Amino acid sequence: MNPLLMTNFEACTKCTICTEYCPVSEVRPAYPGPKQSGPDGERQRLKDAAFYNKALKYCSNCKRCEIACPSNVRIGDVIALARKRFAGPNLSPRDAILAHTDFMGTMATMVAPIVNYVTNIPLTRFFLDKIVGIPAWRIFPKYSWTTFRAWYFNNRPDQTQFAEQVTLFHGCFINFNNPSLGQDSIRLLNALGVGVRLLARERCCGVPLISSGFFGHAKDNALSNAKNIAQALTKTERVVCPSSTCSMTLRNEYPDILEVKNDSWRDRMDLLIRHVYRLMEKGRELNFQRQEIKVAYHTACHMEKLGWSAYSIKLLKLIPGLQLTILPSRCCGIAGTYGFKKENSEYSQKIGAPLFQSIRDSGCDLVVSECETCKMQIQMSTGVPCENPVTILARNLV
Amino acid sequence: MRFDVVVLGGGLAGYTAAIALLEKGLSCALLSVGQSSLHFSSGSMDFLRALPDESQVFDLEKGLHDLARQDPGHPYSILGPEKTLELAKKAETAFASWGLEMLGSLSAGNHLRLSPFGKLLPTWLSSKDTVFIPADAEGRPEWPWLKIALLTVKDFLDFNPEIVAAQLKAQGRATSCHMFTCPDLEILRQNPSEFRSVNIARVLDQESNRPFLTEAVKKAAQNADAVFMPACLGFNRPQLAMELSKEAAKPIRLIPTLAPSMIGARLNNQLQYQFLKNGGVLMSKDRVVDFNLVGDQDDSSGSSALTIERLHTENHGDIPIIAKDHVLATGSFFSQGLLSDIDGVREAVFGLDLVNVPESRSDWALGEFFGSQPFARFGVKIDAQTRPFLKGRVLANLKAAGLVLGGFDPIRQGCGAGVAAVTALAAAEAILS
Repeated sequence: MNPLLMTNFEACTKCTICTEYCPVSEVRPAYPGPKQSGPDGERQRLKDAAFYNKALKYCSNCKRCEIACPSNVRIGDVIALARKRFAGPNLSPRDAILAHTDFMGTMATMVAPIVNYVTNIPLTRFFLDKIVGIPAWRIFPKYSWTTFRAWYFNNRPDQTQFAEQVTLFHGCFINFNNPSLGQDSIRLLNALGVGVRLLARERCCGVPLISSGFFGHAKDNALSNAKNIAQALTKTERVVCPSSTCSMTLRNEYPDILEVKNDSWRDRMDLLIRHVYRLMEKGRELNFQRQEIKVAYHTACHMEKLGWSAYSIKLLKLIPGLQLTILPSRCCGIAGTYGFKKENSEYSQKIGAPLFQSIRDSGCDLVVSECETCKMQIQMSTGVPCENPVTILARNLV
Repeated sequence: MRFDVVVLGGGLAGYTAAIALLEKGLSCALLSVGQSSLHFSSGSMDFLRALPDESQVFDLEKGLHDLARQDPGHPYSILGPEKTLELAKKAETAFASWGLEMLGSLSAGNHLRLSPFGKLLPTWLSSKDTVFIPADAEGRPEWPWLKIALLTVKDFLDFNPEIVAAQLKAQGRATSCHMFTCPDLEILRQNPSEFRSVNIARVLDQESNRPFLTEAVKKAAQNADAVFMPACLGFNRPQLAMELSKEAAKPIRLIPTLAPSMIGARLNNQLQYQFLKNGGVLMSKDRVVDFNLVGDQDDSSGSSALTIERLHTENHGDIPIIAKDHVLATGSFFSQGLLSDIDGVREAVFGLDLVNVPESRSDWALGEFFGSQPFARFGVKIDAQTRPFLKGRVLANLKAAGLVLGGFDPIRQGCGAGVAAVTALAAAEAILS
């Protein structure tokens, strides 16, 4: 089945509500907007590929157009599929570096202190800015000296003592940059009486590859992950992931964009926080210590697409003393690797400005979001720390 | 997931019911399948413009009593004229406390607003930055201004100042037409299909473009008593038209454009903001795919009630949504609250009992397009507590509100927003009692 036929693009009534909610068109008039780039443009592209507009690459794949659409058109998918069919190969070395997070992570963690040091030398930043096209002011995530996987296999607490097991899809960010979130995930699941395994082999979910137009490599990753997930599900009840973007990609982008079937396991691949909620509904208990802290919850774009922010909000409220503010749901502007590209970086900050303002206005001590790149963007742009809800829950366990 | 109340539908009725319930301390989730039809509305709220005998209504209290006689199946008549009036007055107070700055009131009767084509239409409440024309007891306009300048954005297609000017001239007004642009609008204009009210407003609301706007407004205001502009400014800054009025020392007022409507979209955002501020849980882009009823479903006497035990939605899959009470505010055909196909018409979520649907499909519509279309009156049947029915049985923990209801023609009778607000508050009251 042609995936375009599943996007419902013929149902578009040309109402333009999607454009009203598009964070990119608000700040970047050169972007034609989701209606024109999506269903409107598609009618023309179906006639002649020459109608393909290169400005479609400015779409940040946030999917907020799809959430707004009253006619149920998957506008973001129409745009992604058009890029897949017409954009041609991406020959930019910079994009290749940004998109291949697992390859770069494997290389960088081997020499992490050197990479972390070198990427912050002004001369390197000057070079990255002028030659490579990554703005000098953008803060890189630090690479970890050991990967999460290496830690898990060498030092993990015994998981076999638990009768129930789940498989953790950790994603690149936990593996190379933030292993502590992986450790927090294990602590939280263990506290619920659940042991944690890893996939036999895990590759990047593919979302940075999709964003930069490396659809072939993204599909290779998807096929490999799909095989490993199916295999893991013969031994464990579920595959869970703390990241909203990886979860959205595995569940939605695999069949919708990459044409990799997941119907045999889609319902058993879950966001970690949602699975925690499910276990607690079944009567498992978690006890939290008191923490007097003002927390602001940010609904990441792909979290909005999953529609699951209610689980995180409900769970955060269980921590005694925690004061919760729900921020207006707006894009932070980073959109994965989008904001790391020099041609997008100015717009990326403009998109995020209203969110940054509402974070400052909230007077919070901490922002909570399930997205790793929102974390980087929010921390860099507001100076307020940002953590996954899993971290806050795990660190407040009694 | 457990809540006191789950509201299905994120339009005027859904948000009104939800905010009213949140304010009473109930926990509330709201499901919406996409952005609401408020985005297509003028932003003015109609209460009752015409009776079934086609006579125009200006005294709203008298109109409600006439309606109860002429049209006992109308939701206002089901609730009763006194109750409707009480709830509508409550809605006026509620809207004001939620920061919707509206002019007009039930006690003052209908005023007049301008349609995108310059037609004067009687209505109940209008945003304070729009054209508001008081009407006398017979509905004649009491124009505050003689000379009116129409100022539009160059090449904006959803508003035609010449057509409006012709209508105003027929009203004895002296008119002049003006247009303006600025460099940022010229960039936006390169994409003509996106040169629409909200997108233009996002440009004109920026501080950097203020000098262009001020200059254009001052110029247009020179020989005029008032300046009317298409509603394509003031989306993120609802005070902008008022600020410009001060600068030009003349009233600057907005006229709703063809859809998408900036004033309607702004109203939607203001309601959503109130909902979230009061602790509501918003479930955007989700829909009910399954539900479970308890009660004796085979009760042949039909006297016992059924209750909804849980809902299953597209996004939440195996995790049910469990609420003590529910509000159905999913809208009419346009919002997919009602569905029709060759076999018939049905209410989309629960398959509730409908009123006014004729046996024969050929009786659904009239040949005359602008006639009083029978399909406009199709919708859910309710009792005086806004409870709907399923195969003749009351659903005890479900209330229905807004355009999903049957028995009225929101276009011909000019009562859509009023029915939404009144039935939403009636539903909230029924839940709270």
